[in-house]
Amino acid sequence: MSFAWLFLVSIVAGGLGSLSGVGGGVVLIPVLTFFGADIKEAIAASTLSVIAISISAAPSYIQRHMPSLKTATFLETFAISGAFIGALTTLVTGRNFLFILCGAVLLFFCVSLWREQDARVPVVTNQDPLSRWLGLEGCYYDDVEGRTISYQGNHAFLGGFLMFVAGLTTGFLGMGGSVLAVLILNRVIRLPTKVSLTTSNLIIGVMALAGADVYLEAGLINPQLAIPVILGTPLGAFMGAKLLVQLQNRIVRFILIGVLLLWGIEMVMHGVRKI
Amino acid sequence: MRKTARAEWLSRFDMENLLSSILRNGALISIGLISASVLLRWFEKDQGVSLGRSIQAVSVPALLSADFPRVASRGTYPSTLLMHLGLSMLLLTPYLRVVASTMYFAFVERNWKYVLFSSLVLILLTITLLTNLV
Repeated sequence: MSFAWLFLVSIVAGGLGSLSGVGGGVVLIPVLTFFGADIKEAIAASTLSVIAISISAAPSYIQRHMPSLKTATFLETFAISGAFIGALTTLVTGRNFLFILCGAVLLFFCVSLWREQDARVPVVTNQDPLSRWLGLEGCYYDDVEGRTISYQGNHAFLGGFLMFVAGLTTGFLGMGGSVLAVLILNRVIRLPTKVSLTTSNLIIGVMALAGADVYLEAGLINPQLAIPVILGTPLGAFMGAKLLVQLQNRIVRFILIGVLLLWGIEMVMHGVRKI
Repeated sequence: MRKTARAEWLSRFDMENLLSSILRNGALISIGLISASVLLRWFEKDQGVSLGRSIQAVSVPALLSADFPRVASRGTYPSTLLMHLGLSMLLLTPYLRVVASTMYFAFVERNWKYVLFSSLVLILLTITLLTNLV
């Protein structure tokens, strides 16, 4: 694939990932492998794009006091350990098995996007001792509601363990980390949705860094693939975030479900055929 | 007197500004350097943008230390050096954010629990950045 074509694909992947909330890698890896890229190099390029998207989006979130720095710091210890082990596992895993796993993750996202509901997270009234000891609490100003919202985190131990699994997935497959991190922060630790989204953005940058180092040392960073992806995905994510306010969320979700379903089946079949 | 000066400094310290400026500048510098390397390659090669083969490096410092002497000895366009500098900056930006968080927890908040967690993150990242574990 030429530089211009890869750059365009990365913009679309970043945009779709941002619009749907599943992250650029979920769209990027199937496209790159479909056009003949090596799956391990595609995973490495996707990991670099996660860092690029994270550091591009984080400054505006931080200035609005949205992310919980304490929660991010606590969970990063687990996330990095997982990402590091995950990336090392990729190096020794067969390519066919990676195809099957990536396909299975895409099909899992299809189901989760289909079932997605605006579930209201209950407010924490009784913090567990570890979360209290860690001081998992904070507040932010909500522009839509026009008031300051205070929150408390809960289930820090379970959240830490699950974040290790999220790190493992990101390091291993180069995708899925942002969705899993948001789910853990929102559904398990019970942080408000906006705090979960912005805190996960900080965590995935550091999580992806641990994986990217391993890929660099293993010689899997291919500039032909990585450079257009690094330049394109943050641009796409930025455009996606701007479009989000104008497009109907349901339409984007249905398009993405169809695309992921086809790619998921294609990747699983590709892996199974070559075993 | 000394305590008052510290309290005044702390009241003016804006952690959010520091973290966001590290991330914003890191993103701008890395994307700027990588874009410049692509443009230089465009002028170097007749057949479009050819970005070379996979980068084989044992660590981020090794990636850069190999490039500088190569550029100096050949006197060619330093597009590879710019690309590697941009990639290194991309990798170092989240790392620098963790360094700033650790210093904030240590010197401003004096929250030793979080100094511990933050230092652990920093140690793990430093090991992966500086050493060849593969």
